[in-house]
Amino acid sequence: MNNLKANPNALPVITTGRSEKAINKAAKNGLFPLVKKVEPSKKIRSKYAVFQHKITGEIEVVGDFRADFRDHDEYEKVIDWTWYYPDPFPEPFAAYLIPPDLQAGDKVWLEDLIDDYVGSHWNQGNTYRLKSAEAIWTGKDFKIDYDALRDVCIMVG
Amino acid sequence: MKLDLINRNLYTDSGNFIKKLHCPLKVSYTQLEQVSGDKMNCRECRKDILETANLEDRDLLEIVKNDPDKCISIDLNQSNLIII
Repeated sequence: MNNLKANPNALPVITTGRSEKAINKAAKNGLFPLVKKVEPSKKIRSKYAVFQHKITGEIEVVGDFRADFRDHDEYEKVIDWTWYYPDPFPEPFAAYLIPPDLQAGDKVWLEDLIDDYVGSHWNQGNTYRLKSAEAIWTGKDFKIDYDALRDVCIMVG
Repeated sequence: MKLDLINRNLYTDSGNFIKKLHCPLKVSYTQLEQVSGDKMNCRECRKDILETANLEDRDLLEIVKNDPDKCISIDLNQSNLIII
């Protein structure tokens, strides 16, 4: 989930390669793959529980605590509330595909962020990863522009 | 530090309760003004808000022990935070 509108400032878009094939195809087309590890953050999480009908065996998977008020005469909770990482990616690596004309200091739109940032949260404890973000190319890496996120990710009290 | 996102209770890494994050005015980040490096001020109630990204657990615990109503801010992406 992403709290930001898609590329609100119409910046140049940097795409992400998520497989060896996609990355190499981009390299052959003149883009430079800035390769990074895909490392799931423990801060990104969703929850689920599984209920099973006692007679039919059919299951129902729920993600909202309010669904726990199920008729327990008919259903049994076979998996209690469990946190999990909801956004597994196919490969443990990925690459931002850098166009040859990108200059240090250029502001861009990373349409598929490799790093995990909490982009929003729910009062039931779920957190959602930021999908895209504005960033500045330093010449070696991208510096994520995090300011737009602060209002949804900073808690005060 | 560890934050329970459901009840907004904040603990040290070793599990000692620090405080419950609660703002009766439901102030958000945009209603804060930066005063200094780790201090902000609330436009609604004019209290200072302490940023916690660079604080050690024991220091924060001591601050809150001395001032239980101390307002703090926590960024869910700050590196010294674990979400529980």
